[in-house]
Amino acid sequence: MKDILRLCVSLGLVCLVGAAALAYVDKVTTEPRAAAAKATLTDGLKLVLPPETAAIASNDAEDAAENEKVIVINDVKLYRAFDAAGKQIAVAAESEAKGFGGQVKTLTGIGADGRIINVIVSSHSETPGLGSQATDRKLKKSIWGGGKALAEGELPPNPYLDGKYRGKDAKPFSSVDGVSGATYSSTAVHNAVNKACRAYDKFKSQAN
Amino acid sequence: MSVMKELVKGIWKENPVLVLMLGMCPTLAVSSSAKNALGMGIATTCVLAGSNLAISLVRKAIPSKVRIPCYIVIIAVFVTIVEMLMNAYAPAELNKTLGIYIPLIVVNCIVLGRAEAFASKNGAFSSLLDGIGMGLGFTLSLMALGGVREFLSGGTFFEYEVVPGWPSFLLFKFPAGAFIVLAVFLAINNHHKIRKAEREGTTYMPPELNCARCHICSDKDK
Repeated sequence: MKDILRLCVSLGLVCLVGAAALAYVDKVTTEPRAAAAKATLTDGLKLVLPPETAAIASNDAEDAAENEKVIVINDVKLYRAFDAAGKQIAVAAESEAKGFGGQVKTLTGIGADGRIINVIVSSHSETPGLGSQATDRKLKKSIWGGGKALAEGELPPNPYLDGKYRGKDAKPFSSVDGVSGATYSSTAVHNAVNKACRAYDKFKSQAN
Repeated sequence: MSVMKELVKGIWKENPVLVLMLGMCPTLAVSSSAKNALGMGIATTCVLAGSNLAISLVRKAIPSKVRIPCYIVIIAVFVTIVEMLMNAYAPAELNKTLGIYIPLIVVNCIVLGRAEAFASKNGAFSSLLDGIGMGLGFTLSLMALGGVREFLSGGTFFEYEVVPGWPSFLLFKFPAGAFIVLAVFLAINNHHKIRKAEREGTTYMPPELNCARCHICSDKDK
């Protein structure tokens, strides 16, 4: 009996110290983490929105309520982008869906004509080399030189993200043609983009 | 044991992947390219060194009957802290490339294996060295596997094209290809050891049969 008590106390102590350490680190890093997430979001918005966007709508992206440029529909955040004249030229939708290793977050840029400009995956925990084939963009390089460098504002290619979504109408997609070996991850991207499209539809019907 | 010996043993003599056969799950999943292997290796080395150090510091305070749950809590806390710190302070590019490997470390049994087999019985400094050495051995063998697999599957190395026009060979990109390449590696390693034993006039004994390196069984009597 005394032994059991001793074991409980020591395991409990380890857990307590561990929890305290986690709580402390969590508290200390909350602000820097939020700042880093915001910087990532700003970079992502620059990639999916057209280059002529005057002010990226994310200035106060975190505080959606205070910023009329950011609208939340069905948990999807819509960032509106305006040109220098103040005309809305595009919308970036931030949505997420469950993948193999956690939430897959996507940013979908939709132009004024209702076509998808670009889709990027802003954060994910998919298995590197397998699931990440459906989410990560990378440039083809060669040790023999050649290969073309990226133009300003151009994204590295991803056959799945580009082939399935770029330039298509922002309507929910029905087919689930994924990447072989990365079915869960492709389905997650598919679901997240569909959420974004539905939110965009709703946003448009509200605006009219 | 000398300092160098603790550090170097993980790289070849007790290599976690090729000799101890620890951490097979991440080995097979993440060795699809040299870059992935390097990222996973660096992340694991950091966590391994830290958790080995922490566990060897508290090893005398923990009763042996609840040591495994205690180690798991310590390792989980360590991994989560590393993840939060990287999210907060690491440059965005580094966080993006290394961050995806951190959740995978939780399922990496090298960390728990070294805590049990080494850190719980040795001093802080040699445990730290053991962690770094094992991490380096893991990184190197993962990169060797990853390099071979990446080259065979697409003719590339570190995402740079080496042989233009190499036919895409998807088998080696998938876990089945990882099993094949790993088996070839192990066969070469064993062949080398058997030949060496023959030259010395003895019979080769696989390390897992003579139990010399593993202390788990002897703890049961405590």
